[in-house]
Amino acid sequence: MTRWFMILFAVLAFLSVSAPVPKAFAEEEPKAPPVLKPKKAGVESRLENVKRLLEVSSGADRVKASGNADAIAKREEAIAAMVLAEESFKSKDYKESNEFLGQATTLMFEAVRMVGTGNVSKEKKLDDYNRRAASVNILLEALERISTEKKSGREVETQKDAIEAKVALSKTLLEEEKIEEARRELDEAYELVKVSIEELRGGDTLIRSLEFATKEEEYDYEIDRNDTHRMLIDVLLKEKRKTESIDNMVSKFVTQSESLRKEAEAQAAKGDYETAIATLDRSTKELVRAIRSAGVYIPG
Amino acid sequence: MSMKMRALRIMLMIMLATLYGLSGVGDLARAEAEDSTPQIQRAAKVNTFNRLLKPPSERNLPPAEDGIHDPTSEGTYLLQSPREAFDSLPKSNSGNRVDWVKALEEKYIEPRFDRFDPEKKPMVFDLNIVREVKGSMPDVVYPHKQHTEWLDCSNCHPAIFIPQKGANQISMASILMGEMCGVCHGKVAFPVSECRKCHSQNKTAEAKN
Amino acid sequence: MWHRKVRTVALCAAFVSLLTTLVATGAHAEYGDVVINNYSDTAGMRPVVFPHWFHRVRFRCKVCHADIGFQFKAGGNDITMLKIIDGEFCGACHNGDIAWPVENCALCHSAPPGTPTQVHESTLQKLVSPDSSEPVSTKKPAEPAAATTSEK
Repeated sequence: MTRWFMILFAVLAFLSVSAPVPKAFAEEEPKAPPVLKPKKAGVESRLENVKRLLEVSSGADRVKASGNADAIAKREEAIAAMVLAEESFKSKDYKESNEFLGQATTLMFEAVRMVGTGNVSKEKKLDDYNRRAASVNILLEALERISTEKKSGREVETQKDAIEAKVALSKTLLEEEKIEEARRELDEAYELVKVSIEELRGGDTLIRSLEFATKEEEYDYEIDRNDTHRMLIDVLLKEKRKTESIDNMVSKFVTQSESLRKEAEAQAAKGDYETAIATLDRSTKELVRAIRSAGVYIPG
Repeated sequence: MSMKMRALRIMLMIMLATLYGLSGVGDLARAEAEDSTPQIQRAAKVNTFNRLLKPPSERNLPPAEDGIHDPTSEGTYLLQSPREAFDSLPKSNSGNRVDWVKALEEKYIEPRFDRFDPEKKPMVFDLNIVREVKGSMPDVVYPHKQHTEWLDCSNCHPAIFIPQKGANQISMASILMGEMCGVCHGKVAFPVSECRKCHSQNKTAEAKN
Repeated sequence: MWHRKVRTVALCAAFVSLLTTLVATGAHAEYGDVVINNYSDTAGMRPVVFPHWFHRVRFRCKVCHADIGFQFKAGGNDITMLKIIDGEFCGACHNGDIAWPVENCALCHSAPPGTPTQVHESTLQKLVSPDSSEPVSTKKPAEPAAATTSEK
């Protein structure tokens, strides 16, 4: 009997080792290196891509339309390499074909670069400039508010003046179409304003208290809270609701919540925001119950 | 049939099954062996462990298996596997299952702050904004500190938030729809299901009433 | 007593080998993976997959989103190959200097054809798509996990 179990154990142990190991247990094993030997399907797909690059891509159009003899000659070289790649492919030498395709790609990109600007477009530079300028301006306004609040005095005034001077110079440079220099000045202003704000505000804690000017405002807040919890049901419970019992329970609470929400909306329509707020709060509580009943403990 | 013969027969069949790569022969052998391993197969089929939780084996899959990279493309096999990259990083329970903030704080990763200059350091800004919310839901604490480790002021100001008290009406519903904090949280920064990472300041007893 | 011990070990071994056949093979990409398919499908190229996780290990968000000028919106940057070659967007690093050059088409153009622009696993995707457990890819539907098929 003892021997019987020993044999069975040995066999099962062998079985568990020889079977493909589940991923959870295989994490320690090094990944197989990428397949370096090109396969037919891979080379075939690359061949198509390179053909497209050489013939119909935006890069090909740019070279063809350029009238630049060097670039056009480069593209011809690339096409020649691709023809060789096709021949190797036909004779089933996928490794060689893949190498020719690499050459064709490199040559074609060289051709495209020859006729490119080689530079970030003016349009993009201007976009980036404008966004950065908006940041500098809004941070400058913030600095002004903080310095008033903190009665920071002359030192900050001097910093502010320096920043404003840089911003003004940057604007002038931009008008003179010296966009790079304009951006450099602007970036210096940006760094300065950051440092100034950090010096005044670093280590602070600001509290934004919750105060409603009107009951209507509070009602809007509750609507948002209700919407949020309704959305959380989709975000948090989608997977869990595939279980029928959970889904039934969630649906029950959601239905309850929906009818309370309708009730609240009717109350608000009559101008009775105070009651509407209380009803909405009950509606939201049903949604919290739905989420918690499915096993997700959200705070609140 | 003697016990010994029977054991030998089962053993032989299981070995054969292994050779056939756990094909039908294996099932037969196991059916025979059922009296020594009762009910395992039946029970396991319906009651898999943690059936509603994505098992660790399905997280951070290599590109060829992740469903978003084309397994027929040669480039897919040259890309790094997230599991390999995340192995040494601190873990979290959501998103990439990496605690990115901790990974940066404790220098498990050293991402550049400037693409040309690996030495350039961010100007970290330590300002907390506390936003009170209604009821017993904990208040929100927004720490500039952790955010300025990754980002620059200009990323958020003024395109997403006006840096002025009272100027930003925040709506949790629009965050879920990908606006305000939701521009990053719920897309790439930790997801919004992590309520307590933002709603982190419990109300004092008097505030609750 | 000894028999029972061996038996327990044998049972464990058997369980391990059984698990093999039960491991579910769902398809799940990384949180934050962005698919960009503004022009790829029309150009006959595979759509681009941008792995956020890979890049944030190496760069802070600010490098791409402030210095290089990527807007925080999947598909909202109007990226083209020509712009990249001229050094805009991806081309600010993928120039053979900071990172490998764009000649390596298949490293970025790696999604199954027809995959729509998206941020994978985003909250919005969960709110909008009919079933978040399935990838939005049209070409390669996920194999439903063994665990969930038995729920029907």
